[in-house]
Amino acid sequence: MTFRRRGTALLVATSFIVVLAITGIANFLTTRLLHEAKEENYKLMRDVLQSIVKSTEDKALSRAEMIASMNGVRDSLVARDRAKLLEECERMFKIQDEKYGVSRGQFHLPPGISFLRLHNPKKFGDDQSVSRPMLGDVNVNDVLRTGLEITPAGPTISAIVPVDDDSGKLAGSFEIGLELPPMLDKIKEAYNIEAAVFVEEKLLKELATELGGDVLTPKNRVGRYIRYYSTHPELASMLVTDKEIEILEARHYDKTVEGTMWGVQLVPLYTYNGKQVGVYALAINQAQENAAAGRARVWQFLTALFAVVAFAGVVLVVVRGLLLSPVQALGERMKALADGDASQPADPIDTYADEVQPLAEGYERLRKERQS
Amino acid sequence: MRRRRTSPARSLAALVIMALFGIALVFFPLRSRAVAKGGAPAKPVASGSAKLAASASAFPSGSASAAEGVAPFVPHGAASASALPPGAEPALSIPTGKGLPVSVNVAVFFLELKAFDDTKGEFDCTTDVRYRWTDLRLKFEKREAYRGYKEWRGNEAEDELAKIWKPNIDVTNRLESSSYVGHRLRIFPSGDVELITRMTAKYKVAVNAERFPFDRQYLVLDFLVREETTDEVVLRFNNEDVQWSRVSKNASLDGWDPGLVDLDADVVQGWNGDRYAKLTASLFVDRLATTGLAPIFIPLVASLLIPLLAIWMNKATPEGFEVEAFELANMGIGGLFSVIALSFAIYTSYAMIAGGDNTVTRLFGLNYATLALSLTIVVVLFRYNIVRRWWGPYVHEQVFKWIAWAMPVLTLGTSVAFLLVAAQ
Repeated sequence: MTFRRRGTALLVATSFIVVLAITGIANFLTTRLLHEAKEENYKLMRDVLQSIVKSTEDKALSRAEMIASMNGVRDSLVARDRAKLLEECERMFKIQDEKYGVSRGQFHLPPGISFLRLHNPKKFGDDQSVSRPMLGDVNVNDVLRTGLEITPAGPTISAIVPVDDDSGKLAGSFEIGLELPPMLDKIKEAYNIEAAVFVEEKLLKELATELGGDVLTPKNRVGRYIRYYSTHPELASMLVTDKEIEILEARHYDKTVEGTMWGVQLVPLYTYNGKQVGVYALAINQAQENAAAGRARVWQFLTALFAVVAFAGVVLVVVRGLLLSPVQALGERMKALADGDASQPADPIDTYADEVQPLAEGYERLRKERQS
Repeated sequence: MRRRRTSPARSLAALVIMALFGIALVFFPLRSRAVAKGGAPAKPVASGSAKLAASASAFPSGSASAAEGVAPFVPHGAASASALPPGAEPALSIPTGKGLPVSVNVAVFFLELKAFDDTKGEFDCTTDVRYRWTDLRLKFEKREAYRGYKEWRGNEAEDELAKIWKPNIDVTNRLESSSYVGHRLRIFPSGDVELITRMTAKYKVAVNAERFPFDRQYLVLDFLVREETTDEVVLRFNNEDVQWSRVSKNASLDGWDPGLVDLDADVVQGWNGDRYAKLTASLFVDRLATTGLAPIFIPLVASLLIPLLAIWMNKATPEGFEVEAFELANMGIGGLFSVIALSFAIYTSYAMIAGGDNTVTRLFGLNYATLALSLTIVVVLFRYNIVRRWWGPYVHEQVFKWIAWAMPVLTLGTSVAFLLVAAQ
């Protein structure tokens, strides 16, 4: 075995492995940190969605309760006086629609027959109790309910409150429906999170009969869903495709679009009775986190390279320069001396390491003895 | 040829018809003026089309529409009547019909990208900017506009804009614009107002060259509401605005790849706690990295070889080195001057990378550091033989061998790291 080669190679390789291991651990920690930062982002998106859905439900509910509890409104519904009810509510609803985007308001009679649509007073008398389980529930159990429904206008967050007569008997119900687009716009505005909602095409065709023609188009089709609304349609079409949309529970993934890494969180969209009818998609720009992690990794590898080169330098200079090369040179001279050649003197003694100096001195003494 | 005689009956009939036309010509304008003077509503006026006149006359006299004043029907491409009902005062005050603050939606379409000078931080482009707000004073009956809105273009739009309230929005980073500014104003029955402005202008942008040549720059239009605080006017955008805000498919920019348009609403602080609405529309453009390769990176990497050559040219011997130190020092000094000349050439052509921290300045830094290291080695190792004197010929030999491969490895590794960091 040649220690000069294999020994130093072993030392350099060992230092290389150690540095590599340390770099690997640092890299792993960076990946963990990035992963945790992303998980926080995904959790933030889920929390934001949950909070804003709840807030929208509360808004619908508070409006519905306020209107339903007004004496004029209640009395008109109890008296089944449609004209008076419309007169009571028309101005109020117009202001709500113009200023606050409240697009649906409807009174029903048990078990769920439309009595007055404030957004379309000419249409009434249809029984919705079968197609709308939430309405049926309110009109049977005399309790208020909130939740998502697919109404003729599309997916809506509705609040339905029962209206009782003076004897406490259920006289009917009133609902306020808030559409999803303003809610998603708010997410974008407040948190800079892109948002989209996908709804089953079959259900939309079946129930959302008043939906505009620009929604049910092939360009909005993603798997069995229709992209009902998106804060950034072009981006949404690239971030959520047929492959990702089919989910049964919340899931998330990263996707690069136009050179930017996006974190996408998909959340199932459930109706009031717990049936999944679509998917919410939220996306946050993660380019900065990824770039920072990437830069950290590059600097780690560069530091590792410097470390390996420095270790290799120390091993080569110290082991070879201070120990092996002088010993090898002395060995060759000793061999020459044994063969009768005493012409090669040792190097100056102080250039040898302390441990090698006795060897060099011994050689020099032997050489001088042989010369004399 | 026999001359045809004109009968007296025919002459009389012709005279009667001419007299009727004459009376019509005399009385028709007088009637219109009389109606206007009396403040009564104007009936639909035919704009050179009998069919349109027939449609207009289809309104029953004295109906609600007629009583409230019906705007004339407008053939495609022509202007509508005034945005306001006849006789109404100009609606110049801020519209409070939907409460305050008034939400003004902004969207930007980049029609043409003419040039982007990243060294000066300026770009030229033609944009369509769409502003939308609601002024309930401008509401009208749906049947007054068969296309669903009233529309004015060019000077007529400017005349109409002088009669209604409009947000005082300034594009703060605009340097200069062409003399022509196109306007198109639409007013919808609900009182929704849509104003589109087409303009070719030069804008100032901040250029961040930290990731050069893998950088992404943002061609930004900064909209700021002047005078009216956020209590009165806010700038907003929604899904429709995002969809509308994009770059034309035909638009291209030399050396750059245009991407998506992003909208961002913000506020700017004013005096005494006032805040003003701000909205930024930014189109990102990615630099085509290959454009900087030949003129910048090949010379930069090549200049890195000079100090390395100063090391490689030499050879360690038991007595010292083969090549005299001054020859290698000359090489290093020559390299120093070449790097200075190269930096001067590059910084002159690419002013935006001269200041700040970016890949090019880092590579120049690496060049200078390598040159300094190589000159130090030449002086310490080759000229004065310090290592050989202090630690003997074996250490001297090993140190030289190590430097001969370690320096190129570290220099190359650092260069690659700089590029990889920029590419993140």
